[in-house]
Amino acid sequence: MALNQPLPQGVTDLYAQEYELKQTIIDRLKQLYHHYGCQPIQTPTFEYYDLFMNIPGTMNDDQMIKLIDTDGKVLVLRPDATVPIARMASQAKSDMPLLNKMYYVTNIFRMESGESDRTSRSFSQVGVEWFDDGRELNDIEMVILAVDTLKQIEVSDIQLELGQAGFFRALMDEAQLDAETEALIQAKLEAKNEYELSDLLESLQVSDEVKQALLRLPHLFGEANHVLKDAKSVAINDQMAKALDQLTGLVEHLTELGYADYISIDLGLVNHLNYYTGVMFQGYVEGYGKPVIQGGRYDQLMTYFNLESSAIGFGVYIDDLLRIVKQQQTLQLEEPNQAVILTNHTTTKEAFSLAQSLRQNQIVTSIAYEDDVVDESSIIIDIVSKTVNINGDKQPFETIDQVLTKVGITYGTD
Amino acid sequence: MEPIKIALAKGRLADLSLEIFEQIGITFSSYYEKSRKLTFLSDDGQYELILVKAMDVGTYVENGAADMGVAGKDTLLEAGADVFELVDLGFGRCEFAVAGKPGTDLSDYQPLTIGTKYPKITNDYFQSQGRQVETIKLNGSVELAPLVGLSDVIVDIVETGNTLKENNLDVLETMLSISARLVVNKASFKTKGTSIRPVIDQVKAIIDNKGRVTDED
Repeated sequence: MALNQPLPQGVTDLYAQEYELKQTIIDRLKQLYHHYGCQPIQTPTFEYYDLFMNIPGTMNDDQMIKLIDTDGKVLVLRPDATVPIARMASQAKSDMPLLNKMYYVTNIFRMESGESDRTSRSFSQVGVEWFDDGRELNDIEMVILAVDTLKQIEVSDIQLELGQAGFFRALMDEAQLDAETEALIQAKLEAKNEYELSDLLESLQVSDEVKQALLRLPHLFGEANHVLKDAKSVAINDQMAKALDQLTGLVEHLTELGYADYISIDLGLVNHLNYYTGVMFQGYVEGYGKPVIQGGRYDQLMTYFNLESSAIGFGVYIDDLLRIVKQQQTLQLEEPNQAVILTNHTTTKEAFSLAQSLRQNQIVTSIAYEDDVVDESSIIIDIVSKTVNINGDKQPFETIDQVLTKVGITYGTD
Repeated sequence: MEPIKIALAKGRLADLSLEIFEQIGITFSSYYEKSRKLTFLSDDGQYELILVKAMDVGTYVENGAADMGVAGKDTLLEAGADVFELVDLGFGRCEFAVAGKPGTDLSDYQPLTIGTKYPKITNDYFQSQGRQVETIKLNGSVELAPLVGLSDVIVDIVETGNTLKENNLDVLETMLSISARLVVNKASFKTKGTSIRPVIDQVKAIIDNKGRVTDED
C-alpha cells in the first residue's frame, strides 16, 4: 500500500501536459525578452530578512517564509523578485545603459495561512527590470513589451491599464496629511469606495479643492483620451499637470504605434504606491478575475541601495497565465513523431544504434523489450522480427537505412 | 457575449437588490424565493443571477466567478475581499457591537475572551486599539456564550437589540456601522466596463436620489 504523503498547503506538483504547457509559455516569453535585448539573471532562493525589512512598505512581514541561519540570522525565501534584483544591480550595474535590461524566471514564496489554492505559497513569475535614466523612450518600450508578453502566448481580449503614481502623489503633497490618514485614503481609493472616501474626507481638515479632486479619482478610468481630458480639471498643481502630461505623451506614442486598442487608463490606480513613482500598469485578460501583469517605474527603491538610477519593470504571473491559456486553449502542444524500438537481449546493440539515428533526426525514440506494452499510435520498429508498424501498417525491412526511409527520413537530400 | 454574472445571497438583501435591478430594467422573472435553482438568466439574457451564501459573495466576486454582487459590509470585512466597493446601497444597515452581561467592564478581563461569528473583524478592531483579546469562533446563537461562561463578551451584528435584551445582554461598545454594498470584480470592471459601468451608474443614481440614510425597516 502506498504511503499517503500529503503536500503542504499552497504548493503543487506539475507534470505531463500541464508542466509542458507552462514551460512552453516560459520559453516563448524568454524568446521575446531575448529579442528585446534583455539579459537573463538569477538571484538566490533565500536572502537575509534585513534586505526586505530595510525597505519600508514593499513587503508584508507576515507573508515572508523565514528560516534561521546557523549564526542566528534570519533568512527569507525570495518573497519578491524586484528587491533582490535591485540589490544585485546596485553591486553590478554597468555603465552601458543597454546592459542594464534584465529578465528573470523565478519562484516567489509567500506565507499565506488562510485558504489557499495550489500556487498561493509558491508561484512562478517571469519579469523584466530595466535600470535606466528614466527616459520616455523606455517607458514606451516597456509598456509595449508588457502587451507583447500577452500577445506572445496568443491570448485574446487583453488589456493593459495605465496609471501614474506621480499624479496621486502630487495631490497628497497638496493635502499634507500624516502617513496613517494617507493609507486610509489610499485603501478607499483602491476599492473605488467613493461613499466611505467621502465620509472619511468629511472628517479631515482638507481644502475643498483637494477633496473634490480626491472624489473625482475613482471616476478617472476607462478609454485613454477620454480620461486624460477629464483629468485636466482635477490637476490642481503643477506636479499633477506634469504627471498628466507624461501620461498623455506616452498614450500618444502608444496610439501612433497601433497599441491604442490594448490600453486604458485608471488614475485611481493607487496600489503599491510606496513603490512606484511614475507610470504604472496592470495587464488583464477578459474573463479572468485577477491582473496577470503588474509593473511600473520605481525610482525610490534604488536609493536604498545608494544607486543613482531610475528603474522600470514588470512581473508576469505565470501560473495565472497557464490557467488562461488552458481556458482559452490558445497554445497547443506539438505532438512530435514518436518511435518505439522493440528488442531482445541479442539485438541490444542494433537497437541503441538505430535509436541514436532516429533521435538525431528529431524523432522521439524509446527502447523496450518485445513483450512490453507500447503505445499503438507510435511507430513501432521490431528489430528482432525486422518489421516496422506505422499506423497498423506492418512492413518488413532489411537495413537500418530502410527503416529511416520508411519513417520519413531520407538521407543525402536537404 | 457572455452574460454579466451577479452574485446575491438569498434573503432580504437579494430581495431589495432585485427591486433596484428591476427599477433599471434588469428583471429575472424566472426567479422566485422557493426555487431550488441557483442560477437564473435575466429576461433580456444579458445578466445571470447566481445565488450563493452571504459569506461567499465577496469570494465569488473577488475571484471573478461573479462579475458583481451585493454583500453586507460585515461579510466583506470578515473575508477581507479585494474588490471594488462601488455603491453603498443604504439598506441592510446595522451595527457591530461588543455585548455582554450588564455592567461588564471590558478592562477587567486580561485577556478578554470574545465569542463571535466574526473573528477577523473582532481581532482587527481590538488590535487597532492596542487591546489584546482572545476570540472564539462560533457559528450561531452567539448570545449564549457569555451566559454559559464560554466567553466574557460577544461581538455581533445588532439590528434591533431584541435578541440581546431577551438574553439579558447589553451593548457595551459599538464598533462600526455596516450596510449592503454593490461590489465588482476588479478585472471585470476593467475588461467588461462597457456592460458593467452603465449598471453601476444607474444603481448609483437611484440610491443617490433616495438619499443614503433611508432604510426600508
